Amino acid sequence: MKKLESICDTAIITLVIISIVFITGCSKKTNPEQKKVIGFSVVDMQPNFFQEMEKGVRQTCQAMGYEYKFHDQKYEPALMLSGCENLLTQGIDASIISPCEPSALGPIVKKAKSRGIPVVIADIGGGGSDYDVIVISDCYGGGVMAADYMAKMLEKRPNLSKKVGVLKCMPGHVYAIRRGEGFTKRIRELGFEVASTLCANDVRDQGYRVAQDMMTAHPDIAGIFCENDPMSLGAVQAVRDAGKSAIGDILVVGFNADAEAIETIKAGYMAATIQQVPYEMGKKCVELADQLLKGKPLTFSNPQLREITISVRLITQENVSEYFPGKQ
Amino acid sequence: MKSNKFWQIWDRAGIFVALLALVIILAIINPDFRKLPNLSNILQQCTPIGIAAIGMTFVIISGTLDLSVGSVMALTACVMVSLINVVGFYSAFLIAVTLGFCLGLINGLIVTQMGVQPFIATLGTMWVYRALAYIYTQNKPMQSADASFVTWGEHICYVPSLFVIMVLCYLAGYFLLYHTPFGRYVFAIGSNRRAAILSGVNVARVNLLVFALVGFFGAMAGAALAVRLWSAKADAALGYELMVIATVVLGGTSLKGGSGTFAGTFGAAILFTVVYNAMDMFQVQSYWQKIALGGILLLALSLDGLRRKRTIG
Amino acid sequence: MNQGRFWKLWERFGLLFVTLVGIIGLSLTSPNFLTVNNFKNFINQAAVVAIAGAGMTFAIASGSFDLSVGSTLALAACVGAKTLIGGSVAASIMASISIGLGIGILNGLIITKLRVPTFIATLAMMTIVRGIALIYTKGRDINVITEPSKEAIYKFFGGGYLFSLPVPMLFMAAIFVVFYVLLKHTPFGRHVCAVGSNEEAAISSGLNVDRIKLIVFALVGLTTAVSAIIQTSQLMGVNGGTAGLGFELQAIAVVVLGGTSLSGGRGKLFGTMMGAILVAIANNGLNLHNTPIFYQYLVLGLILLLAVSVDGLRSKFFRPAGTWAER
Repeated sequence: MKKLESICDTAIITLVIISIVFITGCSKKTNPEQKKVIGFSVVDMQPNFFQEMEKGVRQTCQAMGYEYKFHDQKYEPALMLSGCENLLTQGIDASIISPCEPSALGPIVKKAKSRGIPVVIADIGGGGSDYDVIVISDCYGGGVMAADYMAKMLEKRPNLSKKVGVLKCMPGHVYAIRRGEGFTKRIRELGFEVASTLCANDVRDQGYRVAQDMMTAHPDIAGIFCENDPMSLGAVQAVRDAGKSAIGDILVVGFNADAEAIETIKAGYMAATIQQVPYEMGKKCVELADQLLKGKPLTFSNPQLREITISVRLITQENVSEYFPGKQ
Repeated sequence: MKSNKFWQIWDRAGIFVALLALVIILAIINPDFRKLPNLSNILQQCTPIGIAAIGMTFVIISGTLDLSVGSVMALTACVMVSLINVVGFYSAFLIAVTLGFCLGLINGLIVTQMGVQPFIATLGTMWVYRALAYIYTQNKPMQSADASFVTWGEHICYVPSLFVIMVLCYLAGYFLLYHTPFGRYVFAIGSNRRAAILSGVNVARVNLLVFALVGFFGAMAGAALAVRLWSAKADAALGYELMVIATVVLGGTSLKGGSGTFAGTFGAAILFTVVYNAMDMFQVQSYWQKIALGGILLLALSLDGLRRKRTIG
Repeated sequence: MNQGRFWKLWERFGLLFVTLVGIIGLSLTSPNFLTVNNFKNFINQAAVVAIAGAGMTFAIASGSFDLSVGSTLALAACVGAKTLIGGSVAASIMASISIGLGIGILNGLIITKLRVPTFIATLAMMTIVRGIALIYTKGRDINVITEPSKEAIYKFFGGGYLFSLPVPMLFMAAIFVVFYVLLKHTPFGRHVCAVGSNEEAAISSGLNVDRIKLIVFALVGLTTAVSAIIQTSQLMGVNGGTAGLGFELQAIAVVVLGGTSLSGGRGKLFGTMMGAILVAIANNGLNLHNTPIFYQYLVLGLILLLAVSVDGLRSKFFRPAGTWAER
């Protein structure tokens, strides 16, 4: 029967492929490397934040004499897993991971540990896995900082309402959630009302639309806190389109200190943003990996969770030139 | 004639020829690629999309598409992982595949009873099922460290258990398609619907079953994904539907329906995974990876298209 | 009235009816819904999807569809934004339109000359064009900060008013009128529908099907570029990686919502426009009520399913023998 024939053909071919592949696989050994290799797997190279982090990791590796291998998870847990597996295959000696999905770190960390490879987690979260150390930005503290700033600025305008709004990131962004939480808790403590909390999916165009709708629903809203800068840029645009100022009328505060947000603050269009320093985080991770590879003990900010926190900074019009002199 | 022979071989096993050539070239060039653990990884990495593609092959042969498979994978995976600590892994697994089957049935009912075109029906259910996954999990990840769950992600002498399951699923699908009346009806409906109806085939029932199969294999694929990650989240498998369809088409199944091969789908699933893996091994910059994937799809199908153009004239 | 009349009325006015119900419901539950400002907001949002939907209507009427419009929007927006910063408004608009047309024609060529199936061709282009957009922008945002005079002119497209009506709305109306005439009152339009109804018959009748398809895809690219200009003008910035994500499915959804069948052969342009408006209103209403994002997906999916189920039941009434339409 013709069908049977063709199935036999393909079965034979498959067997042939698999056997060739396994035979060649068994033959060679890895070539001995002089330098040690650090592998870095990052959430997604699109946001400016992670581009800076990658730069930090890469440049510090070069400066410290490590070879550098890289992988972009493109925000997909399955790719995170396969990418980290592939990095292990490529013979890395230490692993730095910025996970798009912390809860999926379990199998990765297990594999790395079984080969004696130290694991440094960069930001976001550890998912309860067995990592060596996690370097984390104080996202919650940043939200609190933003709330303090907003309250301070709004106190000076007693005729404005006590309503504020929050633009949230995509539901899946575990680290961004903390920013909103910090902000919301603090601003309520300071006597303001969070009139509206909407999701703008991390992106600028939705930040624009959602901010518009927020202003329509609450025309007397006095401030908007955005969990990341692309959304805050969209919100600023929406405020400007409504003929208002994002500093004088509705206070817009972002998070991340992306280059474009800094430009916008300098131009006088946005009030403030919270700066995380991803470059420094990346650098720190490499330094920690180096220490782990050399067997040195680490000093944790929070020994129970093996955390090392990096503080964030409030950037406003007043101090923007100090921290970001000249063109980026 | 020489070129005819080439196209004949291409028809039969083109995808495997390409796969073989690619693997050999990569193995020669890149020492990391040919390491046994890497090859083992590849076999494991291809399982979620590979298993989902089984159901999709049925659907495409029957002449239509199912866009909701990614959302089904996510929803069933979330439900399964959330129940592991409650009823144990195997019961959770059974519940998940039953759920997948039912979700597929719902798709089928919308198509057959409400007369909605499958592309649109599954576009709608894609959003609805995904929303249900978010609502069910409240967007928190579902995790479990249960031993019987996690052990399915291990290997038996470099062959991943998940890969063995995938092969078994393919054999099941193959049997269903080529050795049952149901399978013949699927081909019939895909080739010429009217003729099938006039020949007395209960088209509605067959369609219903086909969509249910997509849901069933989708749930199996979701389980495979969860096993690999030891967790599941509502945004898992986002965008997978297009990848799965591309896998099936690359494997030689025509979108017009009426013809198709499981061997092709199997080969294509492995091929895609090999390409992803190779791009990582060669440290290809991620933006270029997108272009590369699109280019491969175009190349493969242009060859196919040009061949058909030559035979049709 | 009997069933037949009900269905006939539904076919003509069903979508309008649902939209009106939605508007009334929302204005009752949300005080700010029926304001001039809010109207401008949701109509401008609707315009972006509707304009691309006009082109997509042609594509679907001709029996195809285009999955690459989201990426095309992104690239056209990025190129336009960068050109605006360095050059004139006119140059920026020309750049965006060229990109849109170029990608559309490329799609058409791949499908007609290389005989790649539409689904795969446009899917592949979707990933390739997205990759190009990312490389072009190096993954960074493009912020349009330039001379105020240029900004003012460019912003007119997305946020200005003419005769006290929002400009995007006028663009939308104008494009739909032109496309309507093109579809219903020109030979080209009839040929498009012929190709969609029965491609073999169209070929046998002597129509240059390849050329028709090419023009259709060019139209899709053109309308997508216009949508890109309007959206970029609204946002005064764009991100190559995230702009237009999911846009293709939205565009296809509003076309189908509007009553155009995926089997091809007919195009209901004003249906598409109404569909886009309905979806924009739904999103707007959900935002005004502070609904979490998950429920928005649910509502979108349910609206779509409901609409097409009702439509399916209607066609079953007129054609009880088949399950789904076999043309």
